[in-house]
This record gives sequence, C-alpha cells and structure tokens, in this order.
Amino acid sequence: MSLGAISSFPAIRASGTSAPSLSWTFLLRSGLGSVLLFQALSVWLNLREIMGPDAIVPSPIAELVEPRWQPGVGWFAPLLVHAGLEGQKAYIFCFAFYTIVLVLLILNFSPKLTGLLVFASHLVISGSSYFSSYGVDQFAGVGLFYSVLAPARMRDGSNVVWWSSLLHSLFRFQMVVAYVTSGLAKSLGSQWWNGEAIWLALGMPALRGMVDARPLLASFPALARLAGISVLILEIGYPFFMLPKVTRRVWLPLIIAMHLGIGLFLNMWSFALIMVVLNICAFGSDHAACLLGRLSRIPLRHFETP
Amino acid sequence: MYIGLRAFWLNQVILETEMPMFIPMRERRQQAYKSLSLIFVLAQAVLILLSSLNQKPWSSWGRGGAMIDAYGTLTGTAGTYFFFAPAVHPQWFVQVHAAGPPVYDEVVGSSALTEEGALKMVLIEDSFVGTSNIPLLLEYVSRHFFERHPDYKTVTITFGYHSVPSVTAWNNGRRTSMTKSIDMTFQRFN
Repeated sequence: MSLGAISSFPAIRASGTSAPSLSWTFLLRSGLGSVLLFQALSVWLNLREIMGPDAIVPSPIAELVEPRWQPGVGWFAPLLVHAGLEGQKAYIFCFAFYTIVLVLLILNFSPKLTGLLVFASHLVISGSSYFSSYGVDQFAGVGLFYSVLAPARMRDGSNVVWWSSLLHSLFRFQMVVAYVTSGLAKSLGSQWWNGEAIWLALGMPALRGMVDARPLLASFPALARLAGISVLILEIGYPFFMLPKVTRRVWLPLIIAMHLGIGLFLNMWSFALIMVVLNICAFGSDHAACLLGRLSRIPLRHFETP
Repeated sequence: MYIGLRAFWLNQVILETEMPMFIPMRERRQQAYKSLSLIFVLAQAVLILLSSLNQKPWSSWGRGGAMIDAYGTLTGTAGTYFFFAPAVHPQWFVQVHAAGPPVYDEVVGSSALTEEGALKMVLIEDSFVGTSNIPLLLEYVSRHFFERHPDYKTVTITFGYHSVPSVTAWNNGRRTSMTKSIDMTFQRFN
C-alpha cells in the first residue's frame, strides 16, 4: 500500500487539527498488523516445531496447561475434522487464517471486524502455543484488544470522538502502569543497577543481535551500568515525562530508541517493534500521522469534526 | 390530489408532534452511551491498577471472580506487568546426540530455525525449567527426533546452560561456554 493511499484515510487527515483524531486507532491497527505479520511469517517456517500435535511440545499438551476458559485450536478441532482438517492441518489452517486476517487489518478492510478476528485468532494461537509465548504475544494481545474497541471511522454525532478520546486515555494509562511496574520491579534487584542484566542478556547466544556490543562493554564496563540505570530511569520516569506534552518530545524518542536497541543488540525485533508501535499510538500518533502525510507529499486537510 | 394533500398534511402533523420527542430521545441515548462508556473505562482502569499491584479481591468472589480473572487475562487488562524483571536468567540449551552412522549432533534451535523460531524454542526450555519438568522436555525432544529420523535407534539428549563469563573473565579471554547438567538416553521400541 502506498503512502498516498495511507494518507487518504480520514483518520490520517484528522491529524492536522487540534481536535481529537482517530489517527491512533488507524496506526494501532495497521502498525500492530504489520509487526504481527512480520512475526507470523518468521514463525511459518518453523510452525511444525512450535505448534500442532507434531511440535516439540505437542499443542494438545500445551492447551492442557492453560486454564479451561483459554481458547485454543483444540476447541475447534471437532468442527475442523468435518472439513477434513485433522491433526497438524487444523493448526496450519488456523495459522493461515490468522495470517490472512492480519493482511486485511493492514489494508484497513472492515477494520472493526478484522480487528475482532485478529484478536480472536491471536488468542486461539497463543492458547495453543503457551510454552513459546512471550512479551510480544502478551503486549500484542493488549494492543489488539484496544483495536477491537476503538472506533474505525468518524461518523455524525459526538459519540465517536468522545469514545475515542476516552479509550485513548485508558490505553495511555495501561502503558504507564506497564512501564512503571516493570521499572520498579527491575529496580528491586541489583542486576540493573550494576549492569549485570545488560551484560548477561548480551552474552546469551539466542539474544545475539546484529551488533555485538560485548567487546565495547568489556572495555568500558561503566557503559553496561549506565545502560541499566538508563532503562530504570526511562521506565520509572515514564509517567512523569511522557504525560506532559513538553517532555514527551524528548521521552518518546528515548523510549523508542531503547526498544530499537533491544532489537539491534538482543535481536528481539518483534518485541521491539510491537513496543514502538504501542508507544507511538499512545503518545505520538498525531505526529506519526503528520509524518506519514508529509512523506506522501499530499497536503493534510483539516478534518471537520461534527 | 386530495389524497396527496392529505398525506402531506398528515406527514407534517406527525413530524411536528414527533420531532420534539425524537430529539430528546436521541440525546438521552447519547447520554446513556456516554455514561456506560465512562463506567466501562473506569472499571477497566480499576482492574488494571489492582492487577498491577497484584491485588485481586475478586479471587474470593467464587464464579464471578473467576470470570473477572478470565476477562482480565484474555483482554490483557490483568497483565502483563513486571515484565522482563527483575532477574536475567542463564540461557538453557538442549543438545541431541545420536550415534551413527552418520553421527547426529545438534543443539536444538541453533540451526534449522528462524530467529523467531529459535527465540520461541528458548522460551519453551525456560517454561519447562520454571516448572522443574526438564526430564519431560527431554522426552518430548527425543520423541520429536525419532519421528523425524526413523533410522536411529538410540538418542542421548543433554540439558544444560550457557555460562556467560564476568567482564573480568571475558577480558582474560574466557568466552560463553556450555555447561552440561543432565543427560538422558532414549531408545526406540518400535
């Protein structure tokens, strides 16, 4: 989809005004969709090892560990058998369905419905691959829940704007709580204060990123300590510097840089990009929408809110 | 013509009598919608706050409490807080070794997997260590190996962790090494 097409969405056009816009909902859906599609395509190649009855940990076993109310592919297995989708085929079908609805979400095709389908299929897939779920899956779940609730288009009447603003505030609140609790929990141990957490994370073979920072950190150990303390400051300071508009201009790029650093040095790109998308949608959606508009060289028109 | 005029007149009467009632109804509906949205958002905020403080008073409310718990988990409202904190654990490894010919030797997740696949494999190992079910994990790996490689009769699965040296040890030339912890041998019976 070209940038011109992106900027033609009413949500993006709305970003030029001071009135509350729906740019965050559009960016949330398309951003989450893109990152989750990137993750799904990476998992596709190893689907047989990770999910299904032939996986290293068979999914029917993983589903047993989950609470009764957590949906998994196993819930739909009796139905899928009638369609000739037995065993591994059922899991492949569900994952293919998830991938297709992700594409539809990125294309903004019937956003409310596709948002709901992506949320539901993500829930089902997470339920069947319990042992391999991590932060990215949990935070994606949070973002997808908001994409289900968020309005898709401006309509007549003030309810849409009201609901969008209210939900956006709730989303910001959840982000603030997630960062503060994470920062406080980290600060309780000594690992983040003395830089050990950074050094250990960089030393793990699975987390070896594009850039190997260990020689540099070994020469200047204070850098690891500085990085650890910076993470604590960024996370604990999140509500104090992210909520006021003036300091947000500095804090948001710092938070984004921290997450891109996670991608670059620890190779956790899916997690890093999900967090970047969530942060932009929570606190920088209007700026991001303006940037998209500028990149596409189509002048932003003011969206007339009813 | 009469019918047309009559219909027009009736239409006007209906509009005039219904309009004043219609507008307040719409406004009332909007007010109700706003109130309900506000209640929902406030309830969500309370759920987020209490979950982040690990305070779940609803856990003693029986079935209703279980429903709140399920809702919180499925929607992500009750988590994920305290993420990636506070300790960084060592990374585990599972090594597969089968006597040949040809000799089969592989650390699970080191070659045939994508970056994301390898990461997910590490998380699987982490989950099993967290619940002290390492022998079960090794059994799963052996079963998976026998399904993929029907020619082998015996396989040895080793479990261990990568020891990351301290900065001083690194500067003295030590590098990340593999420390073996448990190994189990499995035999195919059919």
